[in-house]
Amino acid sequence: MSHTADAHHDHHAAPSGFKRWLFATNHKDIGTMYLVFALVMFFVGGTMAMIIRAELFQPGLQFVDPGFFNQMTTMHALMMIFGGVMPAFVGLANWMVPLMVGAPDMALPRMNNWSFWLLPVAFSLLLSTLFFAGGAPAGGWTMYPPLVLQTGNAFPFLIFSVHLMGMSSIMGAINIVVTIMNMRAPGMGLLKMPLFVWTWLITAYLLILAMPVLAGAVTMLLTDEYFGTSFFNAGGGGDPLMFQHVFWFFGHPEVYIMILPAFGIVSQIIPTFARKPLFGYESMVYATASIAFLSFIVWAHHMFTVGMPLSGQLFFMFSTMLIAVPTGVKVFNWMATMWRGSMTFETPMLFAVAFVFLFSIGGFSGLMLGITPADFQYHDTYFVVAHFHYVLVPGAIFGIMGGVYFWMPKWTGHMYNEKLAKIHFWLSAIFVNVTFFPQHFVGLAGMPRRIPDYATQFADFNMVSSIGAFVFGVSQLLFVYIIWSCVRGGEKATTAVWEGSHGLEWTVPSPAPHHTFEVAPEVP
Amino acid sequence: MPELSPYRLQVVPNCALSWHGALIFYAWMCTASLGIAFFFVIQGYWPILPFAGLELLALGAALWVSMRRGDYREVISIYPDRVEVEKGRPDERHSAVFPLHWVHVNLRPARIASYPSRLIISSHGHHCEVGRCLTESERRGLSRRLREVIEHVHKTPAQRLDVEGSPGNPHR
Repeated sequence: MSHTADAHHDHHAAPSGFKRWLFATNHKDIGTMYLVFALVMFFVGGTMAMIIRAELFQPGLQFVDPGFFNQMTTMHALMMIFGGVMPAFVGLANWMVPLMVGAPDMALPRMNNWSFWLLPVAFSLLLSTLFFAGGAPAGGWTMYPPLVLQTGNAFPFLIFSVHLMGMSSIMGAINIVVTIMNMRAPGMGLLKMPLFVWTWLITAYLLILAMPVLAGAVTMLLTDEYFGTSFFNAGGGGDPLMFQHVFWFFGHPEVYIMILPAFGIVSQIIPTFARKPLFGYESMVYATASIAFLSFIVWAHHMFTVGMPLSGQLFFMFSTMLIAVPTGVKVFNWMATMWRGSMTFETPMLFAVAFVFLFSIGGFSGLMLGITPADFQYHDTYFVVAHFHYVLVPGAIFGIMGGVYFWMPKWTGHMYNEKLAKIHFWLSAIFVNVTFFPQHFVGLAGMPRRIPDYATQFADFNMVSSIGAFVFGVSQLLFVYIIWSCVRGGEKATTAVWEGSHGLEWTVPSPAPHHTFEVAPEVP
Repeated sequence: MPELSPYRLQVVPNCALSWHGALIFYAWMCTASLGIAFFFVIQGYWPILPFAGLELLALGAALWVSMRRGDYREVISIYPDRVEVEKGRPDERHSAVFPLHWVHVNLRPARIASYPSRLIISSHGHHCEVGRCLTESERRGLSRRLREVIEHVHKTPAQRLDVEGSPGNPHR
């Protein structure tokens, strides 16, 4: 006689206590940790931005000495890029990619845990340099030699923390690639994947191809400083300008690493609130892939002024111009999706529409910078600062905020406070322009970037910019409150959450259970 | 006399990528990444190459682990007198045979709640774990299904059994 002795135990409850987070292998837990970490880093980096803007509120030196100012500009960039934007996107990918492709979890959950926990270590190391004699790195996030080699005791910590951030990014990217390639539910063909999954797949490719270049570049800085090599040391036969080539070979794909997932988020939000399928799905995929390819052949547009042959200038100028074509395809498709749609303007849609409009401004100023003779005038001015902040703040960060509002009901099971969220949107959208638009003018008028003091002719626009930055910064506290109150309670979210929602992620209950898609879903 | 057709339960993990597809993907990644690395080696910046190599090793290992999981099969055949379990990958298959009348199907909970349970088929001091590639609910489903089938075969030994069964969904 056969016997059975099933002793049921509820494994579906999430483990509790700190072990749930320390030993987390669940993609939702790890996604949450990434997002919380990114939010903390936004505020750390944002505080540094406030110090920068306070110092620039009026000409002269008011609050900090020039050395500390340089530390703030360097650390602000490192915090925001590697600690804020990238982990936020990885967090969103951790949460949403398995849900969107119908996988029960990421392909390699333990590696997922490790790739997250490297980040707090890396940033603790980096932030600890603020308390060193000589202070934190101050040579700019681009770490150009020979300036960066004067950093002092913080230098090896900078290199080590960049290595750790790179390891984390690579492991995250490998996990995402393997998950998307191998764990899609039956029927989920590549050209059935949601655009957010596609953009993350291509972003992960970029990370895998670009990160070894950064790792090699910073290692060569380290060996130049401590092991007597001369890769970038002119005194030993090296070439410091070549660091710029190597760095930007990584750096330009990095720019797209920070924007492609935002393209994906916007491509999810707009069809939902326009209540229409995305216009030109396949062209969106090909445009994303084209942008990714082009990102590897345009690096020298960051350094036209260092001197290069005319043929090089022409090649990099025209290849840069070429990026406008697939980007234009994307903007056209978003607008065509909205055209004659039954649009409503909930907060995620507001952020998405603002993204399309304001990112386009950043794109156009990028085109201006891509024209070699014009770049000779604009290079290293505040025009460049305005350009990349338009790409990264109303671009990447608005994409992240839109994504958070879009998916938060699915994560928490509660609707957020729409009224407060709209106030948050309008404060952010208005004051991001108040902050960064005047920087175009001071830049065109010749104000250099990375300076703590400036000529009085730039005073008015700088004051406006600082006021904008303070209000933008404070308004982000509202974002934290909205998230906090949504986690704590609120109107119950339905399974579909939004009227026009479409995709596997909207078929699981809200909040998404600790384990989802234990039985592979049917993909229509 | 021909043997009665068994109930056969096959447990297969879900795998969206074929080995061939994985190889093409990996070859493409190697070509692109090593191409970039060698471009810099030619310029004299060789330290990029070991990082690219390490990363490709990590990617290859991750792909290999993920693909190997997809090769795994468990075939549980239930005959009127015995339960046969054949499991493993094509290159390392293990099999075990248990007398039907003495077989135990035991779903053991893990000591730590977040760890997976274990579905054990055993008799006479021998045991065999099945359903490791399944999720909790699928494993419970398989456990239930096994009990039902064994019970059914036990009660109707002489009846010809030609229905092929499977757990709720063999795919993970």
